[in-house]
Amino acid sequence: MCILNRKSKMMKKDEGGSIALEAIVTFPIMMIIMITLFGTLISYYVDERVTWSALNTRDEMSLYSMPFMGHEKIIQEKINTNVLNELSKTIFKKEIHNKGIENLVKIISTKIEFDGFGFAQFEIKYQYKLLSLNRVKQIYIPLSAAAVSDGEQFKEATVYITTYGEKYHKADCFHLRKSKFGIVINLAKEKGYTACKNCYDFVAEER
Amino acid sequence: MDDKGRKRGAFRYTCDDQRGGISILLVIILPVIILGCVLTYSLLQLIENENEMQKLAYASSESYLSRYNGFIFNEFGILANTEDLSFENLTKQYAIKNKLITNLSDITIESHRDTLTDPEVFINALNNAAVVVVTQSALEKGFEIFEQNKQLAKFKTLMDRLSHTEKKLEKYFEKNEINLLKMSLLDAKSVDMLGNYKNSIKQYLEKLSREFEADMRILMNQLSEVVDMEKNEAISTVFYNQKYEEFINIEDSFLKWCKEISDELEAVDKIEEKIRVIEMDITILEFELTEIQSDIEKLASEEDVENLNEFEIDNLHLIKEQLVSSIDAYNADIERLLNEVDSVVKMEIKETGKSIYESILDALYKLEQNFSGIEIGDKKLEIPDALDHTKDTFHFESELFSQKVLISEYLLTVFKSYDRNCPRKFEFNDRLTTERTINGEIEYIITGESEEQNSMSKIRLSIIALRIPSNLLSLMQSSDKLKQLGQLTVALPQPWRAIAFSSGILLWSTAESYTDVNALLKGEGVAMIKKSTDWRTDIKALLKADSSSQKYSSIKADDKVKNNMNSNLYYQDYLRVLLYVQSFEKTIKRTMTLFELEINQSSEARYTLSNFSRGHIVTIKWKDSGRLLSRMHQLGFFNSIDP
Repeated sequence: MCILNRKSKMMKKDEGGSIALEAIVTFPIMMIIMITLFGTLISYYVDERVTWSALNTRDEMSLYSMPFMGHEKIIQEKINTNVLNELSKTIFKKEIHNKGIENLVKIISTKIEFDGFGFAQFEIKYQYKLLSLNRVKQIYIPLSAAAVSDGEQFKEATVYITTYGEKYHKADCFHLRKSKFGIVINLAKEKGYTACKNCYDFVAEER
Repeated sequence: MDDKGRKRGAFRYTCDDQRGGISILLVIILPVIILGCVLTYSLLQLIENENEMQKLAYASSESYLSRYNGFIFNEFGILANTEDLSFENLTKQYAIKNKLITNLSDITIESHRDTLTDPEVFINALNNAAVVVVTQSALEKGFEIFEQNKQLAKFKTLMDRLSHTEKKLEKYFEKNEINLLKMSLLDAKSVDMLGNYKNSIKQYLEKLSREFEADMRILMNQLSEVVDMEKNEAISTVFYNQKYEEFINIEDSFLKWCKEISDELEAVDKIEEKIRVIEMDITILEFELTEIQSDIEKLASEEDVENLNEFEIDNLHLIKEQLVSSIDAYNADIERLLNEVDSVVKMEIKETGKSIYESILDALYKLEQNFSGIEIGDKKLEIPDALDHTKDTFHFESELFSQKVLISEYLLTVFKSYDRNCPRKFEFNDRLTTERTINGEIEYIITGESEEQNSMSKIRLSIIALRIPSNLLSLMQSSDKLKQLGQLTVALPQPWRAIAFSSGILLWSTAESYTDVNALLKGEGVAMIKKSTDWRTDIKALLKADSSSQKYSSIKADDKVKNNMNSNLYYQDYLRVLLYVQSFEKTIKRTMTLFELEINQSSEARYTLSNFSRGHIVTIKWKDSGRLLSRMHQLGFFNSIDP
């Protein structure tokens, strides 16, 4: 009996030890999992907020970006990209602050570059400050001005001639300061008018 | 058995044995929890995926719609885009970049575009464009009038200066000082006096020439200043050439006048020379006479009478008489020569020319006369069936009169008509001065006739119909005109008198309306209810079929600015009225046809109105990939350029 009692006491002691051991092992794992799950849930909230911030940035940029959309030279494109980068960074940070998620997200980078469609592509790379199954996320949205011309004037464009001149010009040519009459380009050519060298780049025309 | 030796069941024993409880938790409950979390995670990912796609699609749609076609905006002020950029490709590329899909085949995008061939979309486009275009054109016109008045004030100052200088130049011909000097020349009693006055005239003439030259230079500079103010090269060139010719004529006349005086002075020089020669001869003769006189005296004083040679004395007396008669003859020559100066020196006073203002009016009137008549073209709009919207079957009406008015004003701003001089004419981006297939586009919208001649005939009849009641009213208010009619019909017995009187009223109103239309087409304004004095026709001449009784006023120099202030109605005002009263449906259909023709011509048949859209309905179907839970999603939305 004594042996049994001793055995049961020992077993009780053993039971207490295993519970503690299991608790030491499982509790942290549980905590990590719970925190991760919580962080993951929060990440969805953060994603939603970041996307809204990006869209609000896009809306605000639609006015600011008007002078910087549409370019014909590479240098002009680089200048426009730099300007838009700085603008978008400032506005996006302001939006993140307004949404109250500064402490939940770390913005790694924002970038603007012109895509193949003629729009500016706004790229945002960010990560979550809380532990989460999702780590780094990238989103891309097209950014455009409120209104931008496609530059299409059609081939039968309206050109302008003067009373006594022999050349046809574009609307804003300085030769048109005294007189200006619109005429379809084909008709002008038929009548013997030739292109003004100031208005038309002959290499581009031939191309 | 337990401590107390009691027996327990195996299960109870197991439950009492807490060893492995947490393991059970880990093995059974935790997987359930984890599985639940994973499912929740996937579900949340699905929802997030859908939300992200929606936002991305909306952002792509906004970007797509922000890109408007340059041609239709510059020509008509309408924001619309073409299909050159594919909305589907844009959305797909961004969906892949955002890892919403992995393959392009996982997504299907259908977009139904709201093209301008839809009358509702077209009317909305016109509404939005009209506000901007009409306001912009009206503002530009306002600034133009302001500038015009400013320019006109400056122009008037320059013209006044030019006029003053021209008058000054013309007064050179009237220089009374020259005439006074000439009179003194004529009254010269001696050759010395003649010489002095002649030199005075020469010096005065030189001074006059120098002053004239300086004033001429000032005049030419002022003319250049006036010409530079005129932006229309044709008018400025004509004006410059005309005035330059006049001023050169003035200069030539002055030089001719100076030459005449110089010739006269040359003749006087010759006379003076002759007189001086004669005077020298007279001096010699007088010297001889003096000698002979002294010889005679000497002989007469001889005391020795015997030595007196009477023959010699007589001879001397004879010579003396001859000398005296020669001297008298020479003096007579001098008198004659001095009198000859009268015939050589002419006294003329030139008349002044026309005043500058009259000259300008004449020049501008001549210029206006060259363009005073209008030529109605005989061109025709070639409308292919595919582009003809007048045969469309949709029906609609404008709910608001203000919308009709706004769109009518917009049409008058972007389409040409035969109007020339209306002060209430606004132009958008030089569209009204550009050459077009037909000049009577507004006339086409009103009448629907593709041939210019036919549409103008209909317009004429419409305007005559509008004018007849106004002229009737004017006639009824004019007692002297009614008296005239009464006098014509007094001889007729009743009831023929009443019938003739009424017919006369109608005939006169109609004839006057006809002349009003001609005047309107010439660019003149006609009052709504005319005063009796403004009538052009005379009933007696009408009845005699005499068309010379009609009178047309000319457009005067500064009428274009005065026109901004007056309340006459012009041809374009009648077009406005006809547009307002016309069925909105007809206006829109014909406008759409004109749009089609212009787009078709400009793009060389590559584009039509159906290529332009202002919004779209989008349906996106896509499949998640790489997720634990995957399903087909679908979203649809509508987006447009309209706010």
